[in-house]
Amino acid sequence: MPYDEDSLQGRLLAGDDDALALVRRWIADSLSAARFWRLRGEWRDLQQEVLSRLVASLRRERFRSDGELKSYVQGICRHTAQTRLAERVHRPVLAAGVDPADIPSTGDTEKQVITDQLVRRALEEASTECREMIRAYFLEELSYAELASRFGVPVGTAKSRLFRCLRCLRESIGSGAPRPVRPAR
Amino acid sequence: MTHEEYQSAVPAYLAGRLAEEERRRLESHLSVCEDCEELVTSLHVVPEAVARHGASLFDPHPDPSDLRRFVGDEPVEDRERVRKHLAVCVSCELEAAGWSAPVLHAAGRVEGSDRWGPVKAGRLAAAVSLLAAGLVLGFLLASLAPGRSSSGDGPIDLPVLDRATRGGSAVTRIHVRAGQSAFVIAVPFVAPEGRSGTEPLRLDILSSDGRPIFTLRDTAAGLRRRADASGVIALLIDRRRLAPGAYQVAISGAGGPEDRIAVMPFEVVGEEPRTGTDGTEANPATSPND
Repeated sequence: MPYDEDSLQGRLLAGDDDALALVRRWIADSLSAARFWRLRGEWRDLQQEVLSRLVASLRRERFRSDGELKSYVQGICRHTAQTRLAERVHRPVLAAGVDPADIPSTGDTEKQVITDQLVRRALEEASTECREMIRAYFLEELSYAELASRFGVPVGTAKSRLFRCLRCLRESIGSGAPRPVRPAR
Repeated sequence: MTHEEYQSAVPAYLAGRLAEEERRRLESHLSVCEDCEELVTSLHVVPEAVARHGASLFDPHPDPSDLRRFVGDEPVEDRERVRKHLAVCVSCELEAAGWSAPVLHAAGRVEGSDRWGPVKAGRLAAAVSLLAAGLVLGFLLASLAPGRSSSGDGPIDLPVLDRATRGGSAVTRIHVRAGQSAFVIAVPFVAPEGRSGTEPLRLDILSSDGRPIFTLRDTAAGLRRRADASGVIALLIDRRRLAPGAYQVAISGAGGPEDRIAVMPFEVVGEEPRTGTDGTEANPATSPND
């Protein structure tokens, strides 16, 4: 037994479903990062490639038990995805055997999926108060007065806090979001 | 109005809650203020996403174990919430696909598999996951004799199916533990003699009555590429999709059963996939062929 059977890596090698579920979560999170969106059509394959590399590495005890498994998994994800991106330079995007139907479109729907995911991630990264404020204002359609009452602050403060939250959200969304074409000045 | 006042009107503008006159004034300001215009341009996606997905956009991810159970059609506390979440969260959708994809093989065309799409609970009862070739197995193969399976030196067993010889009858037995979600088998790939690399081939996993459970179609060269340096193709099998019983891996030409190149029988031995309670097995290690 290469690792302690109670450790996450030990449980993963023993085929523990919950350990595998957690590792799958890390892999999916890493691969669906904005910088790997170009690989979206290959995510499922990459996910399995990462998993197989991870299992092979663990069987060879390449992972040190005193390290953090999550970082190790994320490292394999980055390496695998970046290698795949680099390979794209040298080969046609549509490889033989790939079903064109599996390749995501690049039209509005795809753009929408990307932006929605960016917004979702930005909301995850936002503070609880910001997330709740944005939810209250945009989803529940509360007025500034109602917002102020819910959060126990003056109306002016609620207004400025909401604005600051949106600014933070914009930073998180960053440059990954497809931008609409600017109107000519 | 000052620049700051215009800025404070941006949330209401994004939400479509400005009065007509205020809206026109702000738009007039946007045409001359790059900062405000940039802000609006960047943030217009927020109310749009909220309108499309509602409360699901703000929901936290389901627990990884809940997601697995959802895909496996096992009891989940709030199934509807998980379903809605999957519609809005691409990373969880990918995670779910990992649990549900019947064949997880690079660029493979697989019969009987779903395309990547919304998870359909109930369609996941039977599945085999083929893992991308590249799992390095050579160091394990050195100790293997034809027709025997490996016990390995770790908790994951690596049974290598009998050599792909026509009419080979040795059966590789694969013991699976209760609670074990997947196992790996290695299929030696025998290049068909006298056939070109571009000839279409198929690799089937067949039930005992010869019914194809899953089929991987590729050319001879393509299958060879899937094999690792030791000449074996590693298959990751989701045990929930192969109940205990007898199976075969068959490699055939395009003609199917009439054009069979190799058959490798194997038997899955162990308890039925667990249904919520863990069990243990006295001898979980893979044994040599009986």
